Amino acid sequence: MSLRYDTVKALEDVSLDSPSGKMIALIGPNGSGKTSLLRLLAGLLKPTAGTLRVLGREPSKARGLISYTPQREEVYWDYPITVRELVAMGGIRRRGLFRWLDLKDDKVSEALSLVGLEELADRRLSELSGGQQQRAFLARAICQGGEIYLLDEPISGLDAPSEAKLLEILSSLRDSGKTIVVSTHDISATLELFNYVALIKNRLIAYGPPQEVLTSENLSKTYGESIVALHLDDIKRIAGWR
Amino acid sequence: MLDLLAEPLGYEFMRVALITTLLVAVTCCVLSSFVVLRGWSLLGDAISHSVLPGIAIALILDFPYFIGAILAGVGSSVLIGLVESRARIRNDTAIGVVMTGAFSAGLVIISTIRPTVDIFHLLFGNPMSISIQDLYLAAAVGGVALLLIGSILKEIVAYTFDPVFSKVVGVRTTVIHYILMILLSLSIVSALSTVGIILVVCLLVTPGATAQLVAKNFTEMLAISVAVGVTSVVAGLYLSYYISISSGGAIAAVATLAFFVVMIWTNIRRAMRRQGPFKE
Repeated sequence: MSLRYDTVKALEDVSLDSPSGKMIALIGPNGSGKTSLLRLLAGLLKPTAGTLRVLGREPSKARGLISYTPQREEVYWDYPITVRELVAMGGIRRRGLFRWLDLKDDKVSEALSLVGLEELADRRLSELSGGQQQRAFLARAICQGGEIYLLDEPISGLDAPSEAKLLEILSSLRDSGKTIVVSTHDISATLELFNYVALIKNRLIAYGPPQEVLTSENLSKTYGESIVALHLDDIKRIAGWR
Repeated sequence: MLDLLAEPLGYEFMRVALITTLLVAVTCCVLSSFVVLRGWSLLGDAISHSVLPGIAIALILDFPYFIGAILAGVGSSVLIGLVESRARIRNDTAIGVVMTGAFSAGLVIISTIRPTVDIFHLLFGNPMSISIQDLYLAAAVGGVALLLIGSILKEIVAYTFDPVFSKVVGVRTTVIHYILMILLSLSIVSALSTVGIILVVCLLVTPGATAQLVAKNFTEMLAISVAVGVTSVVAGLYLSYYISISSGGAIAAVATLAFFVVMIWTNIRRAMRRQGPFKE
């Protein structure tokens, strides 16, 4: 499928599919169309050409089943909201009119404990560290109870332990049958945790299991020659491939 | 002391003015929290200026001026969105173009008809001439606004905090957006006779901004915002009574003063915590 913004091609001839219950990384430099692809999956944008099915239906028809976590820059961090309120926001569709968010919902406390934030539940969101904030948003998605988790740049700016913790939670969600789609501009060793990796630079460069896709040739096509050499050495060393 | 407080209330016009302005302030201050959090301060300013042509046309065609004002207010918010997307300019530029355009259109139309309504009163309010009808209008607007906001508060919070999430999860974000626009226009109309369309912006921005400096969560922010607004109205009206100054101006000045006091206080508190033996 393709997507254009007026005359600008955001994505061209991108074609990929995945069974449910997998973890997929969309990798590419900034401006490569990763966010656009996530927004297509979320039903926020419509492809200008081609078709897209999420769980066998149009994304806009799968509303309750898809959760979307925007990238950090899109969130207004000084909003006066507690972690518990944020997580309870995930259950907004289950609550009728005239009622405030259900802060005592079992799903809220389950989600909080799954991401390990019970003790910080009544703190203001802005008081948390970057990794904790990201986990709080993940808890909101868990509370929503969807099947597809779309996360835009969830690990950018996180330190290694926070990144590991977040990916551990995502992996366990995957193991319980959820489909996880994560975008990232970082190529790091943690990518081996994913079932599929899609390299994107306004078109699909390569798609498949990480060991097959993350070759120096594919990475140079995505990022340009010079930057890749360094990254690839790191990955080989840490992941022990090839 | 008690006499000083009671004396102005001996006059019918002061009682009507106080109650009407308080009703207006509560409505505006509740909306103020959303205006501040969504970054709509300039938009609030734009809508308030844009109601002028609506009022002017209503005067010419002889229908209730608040209907003209609502149509013009909501129309301007739609127009701003259109200009922003069609002309591909930044939001603040679109607001600047539409706001001054609408305001000047209003001035031109009013200047041709020599209305019975004093333009100075529309702009800055005149509590001495608040009628009982104005009070009813303020009460009706306040009632409608609080009822609507109360019934969809979680949707409004979700939309103002994270519009993308809200849309994906199935919240009708466009509906919420225009409900807020209509409520903004309504609150501005109800403020016409009390603080006027220029100074109402102060009630739509400053109390929310003050509350955001100290509030821990959203309900607290609403409460502090309303408290700041109510205090400003009472203090402003008494000041204007005793030292004969513009009441709209006095209310806005007190609200602004409250903001700076709270801002300085939070800064001092933060600095003291940093110097203290324990870190935050």
